[in-house]
Amino acid sequence: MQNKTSNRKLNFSIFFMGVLAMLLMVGCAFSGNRSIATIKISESEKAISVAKESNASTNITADVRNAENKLVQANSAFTAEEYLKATRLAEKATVDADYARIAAKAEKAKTDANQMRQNIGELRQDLERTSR
Amino acid sequence: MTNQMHSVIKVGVGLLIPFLLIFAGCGPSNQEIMARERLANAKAAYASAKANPNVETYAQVPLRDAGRAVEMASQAEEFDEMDHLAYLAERKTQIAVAVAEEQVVENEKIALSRETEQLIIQTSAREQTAKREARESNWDARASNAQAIASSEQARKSNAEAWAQTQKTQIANTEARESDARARESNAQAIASSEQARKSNVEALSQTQKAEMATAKADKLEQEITAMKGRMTERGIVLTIGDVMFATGTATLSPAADYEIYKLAAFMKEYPDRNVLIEGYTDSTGTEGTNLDLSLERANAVSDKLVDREISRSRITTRGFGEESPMAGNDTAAGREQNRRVEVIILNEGVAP
Repeated sequence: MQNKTSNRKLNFSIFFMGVLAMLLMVGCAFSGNRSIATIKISESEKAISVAKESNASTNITADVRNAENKLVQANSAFTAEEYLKATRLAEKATVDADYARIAAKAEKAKTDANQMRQNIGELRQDLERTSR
Repeated sequence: MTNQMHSVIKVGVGLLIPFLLIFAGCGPSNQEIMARERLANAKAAYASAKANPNVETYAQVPLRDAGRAVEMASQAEEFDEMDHLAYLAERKTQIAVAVAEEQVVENEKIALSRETEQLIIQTSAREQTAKREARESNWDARASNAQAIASSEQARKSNAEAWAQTQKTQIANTEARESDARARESNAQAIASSEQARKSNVEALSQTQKAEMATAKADKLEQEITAMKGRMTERGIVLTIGDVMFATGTATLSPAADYEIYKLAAFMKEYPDRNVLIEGYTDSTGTEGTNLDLSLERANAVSDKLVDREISRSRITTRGFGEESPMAGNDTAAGREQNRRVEVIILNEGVAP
């Protein structure tokens, strides 16, 4: 009889500690996700701001707006404590912003090159005129 | 009867349950289909980028990054994770392609820059030659003219001599006739010299016309500068070199600006009495100190290019104004970009820089 009771108590303790451990892990997982989400959101804010600054005059603003929309959604998810969702949205926003920045840089290089071709055309025309 | 019905019901239910289970989502879900499709697209895009020699050459690092992302997406354990990682992989592949594209164009710009420089050298040489030829023709014309005048003077003297002789004595008719002959010879010479002078004048005229064309070109240059980007102000002609002409955050001028600066230098050579003021401005981001420095560095970069085109430094003054006198609001990205500028003021004649 004694053994049965102490067994039960032992089982109960183990069970209790198991639940506690699981709760702790889940709790850690939750706060882990939260801090990851915070970091990711901050990264995407930076990426978007850099993308906007470096290429104000080009036409790739649609990509930047894409990124901004996702950031807004990420913040909403964060507020609703949906940390995994927030993290993923923020990660998407970051790559969107990075892409926008590089695409705008390529666009600007093309515009420069076209301007230079135009200049060369003018120079050639002038030379032809004076070679009579 | 009841037993048979029971059996039918059992079989029916037995057949029904799997269908129900499938409808309940134990077969491939929409999410799984989407995730697999996205992964397939990401893999295809990556394969295509990897096969592009430019990407392998100029965007190695972003390409590797994209490859790793594809790997991670392939190894995803759940479909929402797969979909997410495949999205990232797709974007990273696009980034690698864009990086390569940009580098290819930068290489093109180098070749274009060399071509521009060649043409500028040819244009300068052509102009120098034309000016020299005009000058030489002018000298020739002047020499011929002087000669014609001298011969005419000679003819006049001989004529006067002849007249004096005839006046002096009637007996010295033969002498008078000889003087007459000499006078006629001098006259003939004078006529020949005049003819020469006339020819030289005609040539000089055509050369002058060419020189005038060059001057007209200088006027056209002024018109161009005024019309295309210059604003006439009381201080002079103001050209604005925008932020796009500099590499972001630096004082490095794009080769696309070379031609503009060449035209400015050509203009300044045509009008040696006009000096320039070069003023640099920034937006309000960053510290006042760094902005002051950057704005002056940019002004100096433009000045250096002018000096490279053989404009004397004594004709140029550079100033950095940093954040002062913004052209637009610093609260928008577009406004900030407008504020980041270099203004070149071609001063009116005789104004000290």
